[in-house]
Amino acid sequence: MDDLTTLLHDAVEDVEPTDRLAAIRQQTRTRRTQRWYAVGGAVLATAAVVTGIAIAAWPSTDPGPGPSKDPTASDSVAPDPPFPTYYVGDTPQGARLFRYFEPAPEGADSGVATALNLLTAVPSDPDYRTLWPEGAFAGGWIDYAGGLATVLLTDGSLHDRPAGMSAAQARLALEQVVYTVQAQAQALIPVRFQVEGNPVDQVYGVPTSEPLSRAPELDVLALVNISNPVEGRVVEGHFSADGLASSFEGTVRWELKDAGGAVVRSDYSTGTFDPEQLTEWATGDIDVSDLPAGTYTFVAATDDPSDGEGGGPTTDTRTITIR
Amino acid sequence: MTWAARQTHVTASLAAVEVTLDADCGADAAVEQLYAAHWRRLVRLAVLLLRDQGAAEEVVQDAFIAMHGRWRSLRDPDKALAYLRQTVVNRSRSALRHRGVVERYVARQSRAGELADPADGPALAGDRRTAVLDALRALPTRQREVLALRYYLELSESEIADALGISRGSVKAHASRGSATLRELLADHLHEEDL
Repeated sequence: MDDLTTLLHDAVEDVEPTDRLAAIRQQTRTRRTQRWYAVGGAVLATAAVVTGIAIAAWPSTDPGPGPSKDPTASDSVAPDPPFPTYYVGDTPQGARLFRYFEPAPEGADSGVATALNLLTAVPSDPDYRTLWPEGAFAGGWIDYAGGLATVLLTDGSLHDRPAGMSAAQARLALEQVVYTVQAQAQALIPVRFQVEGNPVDQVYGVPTSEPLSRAPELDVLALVNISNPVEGRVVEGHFSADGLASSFEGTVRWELKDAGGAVVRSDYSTGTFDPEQLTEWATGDIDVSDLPAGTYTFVAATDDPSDGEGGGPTTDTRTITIR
Repeated sequence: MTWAARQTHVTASLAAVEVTLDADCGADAAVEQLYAAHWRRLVRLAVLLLRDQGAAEEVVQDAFIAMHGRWRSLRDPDKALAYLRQTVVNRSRSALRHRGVVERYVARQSRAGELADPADGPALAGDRRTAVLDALRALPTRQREVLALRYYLELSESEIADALGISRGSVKAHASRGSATLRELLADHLHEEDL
């Protein structure tokens, strides 16, 4: 036997996984039920009682305060880690989720409760919106040992799908929560919903008696997404951008446009392609030292070799300031 | 329709129903069977890739659920096992990448790069074991994956190439680079074994 064979086997010899067969059985059953429900639900839910909750299709005209602090300035105190938050935005595939790193709210606790509250606030990037009204959540936690995350709803008012929300939107809203909670957990941990400690059988009309797993990335995420820069970032001399994408041959096209919409920089970044999930892309260093100070838009787009036949490229944008 | 034709038609429909039932029962049975035979090994593989046992269990559990959903196109325990392996590797990479993006972002913002290790699980004791997992973690993702598949699952070069969707040449290159680095990082422990 090879020396490394021995070492690697030895390294995990002590790992005794917990028994998850019951959980797996449960989830393979849940899936079938959900699929069936999705068909029946579209018809049934039209009769759902509307409770008068205003669904937060946030007007995208108010950019909110945004991160005004200059991120290039050296802070004496390390800032809190940002919160990966999943918002809804428009793509050629319809509404999809975009991951955005929201700065930690001042004085906020780390963890699920804060992440959930961010889901009910106005996103920092005005291109995004959320499907959750203010005050929807009362908190949440992650139980790693039990393999389950819990999300507390404030009350039962989100039980049914409200008028004006499609079944697809309702499912996307639940994915917003599952993806955001799992990002906090840094694990693909199933998510259950409760009101005052009691399980709820549905949220927005989507069955929640069994904990929810995330839907596949390629079914719910926008196919391109910018991690850096964040919205409103101030840059000097140069910057770089990165994010996630699922694009033809891993190619992401990017452009930097000035306030008049003229393209002042553009290039391709190459990455890898994975049929199951988004993969990382990055621009490398972009020199902007010769550009006049002002507001610019950074655009990342999937490569679209079909020339628009497949609905055209997905894009994500960030406003940045060059000074 | 003649009687004979009708008879054929009915038989064909029944056969179709049986196939559908088989496919559904087959998926459940395949999950049970593969879970019994491979759950522990796959979780251990994921621990080598991710370090964190909780995250490893999530990833493998998820892979079983995905396999159940794909059973109609797999229909064969060997193919299903290959699919499970591939999915475990892919999803581990995704989990790591996610963690990596957050960590890099924090490092960039703080410029300190000092992070509490989020992967410190409760269970992993022993200097050498920790050293091996640390060393694996220090490798580039592809090299770590190739080494785990080669030295832990003991797959052949072409099986590894299939699982990772890369060429056999790349497997060879990653394996030789990765094992050289690993031997270097673990020189003390390898030496210890020789004694």
